[in-house]
Amino acid sequence: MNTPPRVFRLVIALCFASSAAVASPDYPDAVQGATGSPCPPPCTVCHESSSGGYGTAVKPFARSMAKVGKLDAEDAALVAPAVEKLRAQATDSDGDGATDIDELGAGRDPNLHGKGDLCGPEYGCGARVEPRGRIDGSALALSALAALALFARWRWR
Amino acid sequence: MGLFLRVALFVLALSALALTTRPAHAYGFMIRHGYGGCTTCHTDPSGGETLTRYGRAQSDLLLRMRYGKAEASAPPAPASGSFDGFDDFDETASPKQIPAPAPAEEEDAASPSRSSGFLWGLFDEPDFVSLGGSLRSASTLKSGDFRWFPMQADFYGQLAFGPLHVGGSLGAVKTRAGSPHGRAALVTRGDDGQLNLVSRTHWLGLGLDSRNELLLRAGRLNVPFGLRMSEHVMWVREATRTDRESDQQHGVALAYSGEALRGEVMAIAGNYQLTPDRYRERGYSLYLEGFASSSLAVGASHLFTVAQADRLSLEQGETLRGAHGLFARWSPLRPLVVMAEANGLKSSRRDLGYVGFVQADYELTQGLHLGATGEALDAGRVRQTGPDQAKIPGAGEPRFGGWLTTTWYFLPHCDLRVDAIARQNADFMLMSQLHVFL
Repeated sequence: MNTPPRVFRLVIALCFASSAAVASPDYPDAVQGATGSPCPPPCTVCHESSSGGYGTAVKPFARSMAKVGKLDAEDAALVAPAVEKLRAQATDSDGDGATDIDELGAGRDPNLHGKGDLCGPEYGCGARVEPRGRIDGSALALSALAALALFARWRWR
Repeated sequence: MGLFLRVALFVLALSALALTTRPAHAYGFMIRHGYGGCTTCHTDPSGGETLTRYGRAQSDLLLRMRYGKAEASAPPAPASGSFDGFDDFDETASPKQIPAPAPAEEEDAASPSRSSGFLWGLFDEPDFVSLGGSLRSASTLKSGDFRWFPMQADFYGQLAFGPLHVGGSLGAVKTRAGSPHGRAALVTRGDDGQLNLVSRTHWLGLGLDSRNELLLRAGRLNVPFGLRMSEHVMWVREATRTDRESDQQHGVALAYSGEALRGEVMAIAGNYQLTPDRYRERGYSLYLEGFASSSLAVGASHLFTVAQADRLSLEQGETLRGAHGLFARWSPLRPLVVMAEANGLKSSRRDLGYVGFVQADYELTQGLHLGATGEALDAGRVRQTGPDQAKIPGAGEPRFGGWLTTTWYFLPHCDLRVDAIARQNADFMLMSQLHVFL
């Protein structure tokens, strides 16, 4: 086949050779860290929908956060100071008698009057694949070995 | 293909499995070649994922760049101009009658390359087996912030023993804190950022007639609604919760793939890969598409579900959700395909809403596609306890978005896609995807 290998190698380099970074957890992890909530809250704790976007952080809790901190800079470091201000002010966005930060810490939705459920459903059937904190090096090595074995079989066929 | 390239591709593809996350193809634009239906090229009667042997051959002949060879994309036109003329292939020819893949050194434009087979032809699958997989690596550039992430690493396949079919997918995924993507299809239950097994579909099927037009399936299935597409973040798929990324549901579905009509109706029993039960949506979904000519297909969709809590907004209490709409695919000129879908939306605690898109795909030359998409969303103003939510773009007011897309099917089983996405109230984003299917 008359393919241009240089172009192809460039494509591979651009698309695969980047570092194996996992997307930054950003605000959900920051909120969990600052409030002690049992899970990273979903985007919808602030945004109108899970697709987010400017101007869509209209939930009562998001409005309260916006009043005490400029959170539109997409800087997760701004979350903790804003949470502390809400804690100091004992803000109760949904008016149910429990403060937002207490509700978050208890896994409750600060936008919904009453109990709510911050963490939502559990997904999956229970087991784990990856031991906590383990790097994926062995899986990579196994994949490479499997690839070599398949390739060898193809060559010798 | 050069030895180095073959090895490099394979090793990289398998290695990506160790990292991971989301899904693949279902090219509605194949209507330009007279393929209105899906069952000729896909084992799923509504399209997507596992390719049939014939589908692999057509991918090689009609989709990928041929680099100076005569393009093979002259449509092998349906004999009767019927809706799904190539489905007749299944009735008139056994898989062994498919043009035999030519040895690499004898490749020509009229026959598929040997590399069109599973794992670039490394294995010859038995006739009753169809195997596949998708590895997708993505990078995004938004507001100067560059991110790379493995988007999808799935194996999938189907076994067919006479009328009995067994199909499904198994892959690996890393979910991201706060993001809904990937979660709903998890098999294992690791934390965000950890590797998890994911199964988007798994099902048992029974062919109900000798012409393979009726297929009854039970299991976890893609929800039959609207146009089946690869862009799972397109609003029209997100707002209706009918993407192929992780929106599948468990249930029973009956699909019909006829000459002038195709459709599927599914009784939704809920997603049994999540707990507790109150978050499971139950109801039904269906679509029906008719072929007005060999280049125009028009369809309608309808979905209704009820749950006791909403799994995305986490609002508690009975949650009804409905989507109802029309869609169309039209190829006025062979290089150009226009696809459109418009749906009305209604759900509990929201006003009426709508979502839609129009997409044009232009095949500049075989293997190189340019695309433009416009989308609109107003999911309806949120009405909650306490003061009503204000109207905002996307929820009470229209929100618009636009995509410019280039896709290069540069080698067998490989494509590179670049999207420029501008959406109201969101940063401009450049996204590239390298997709390798096995």
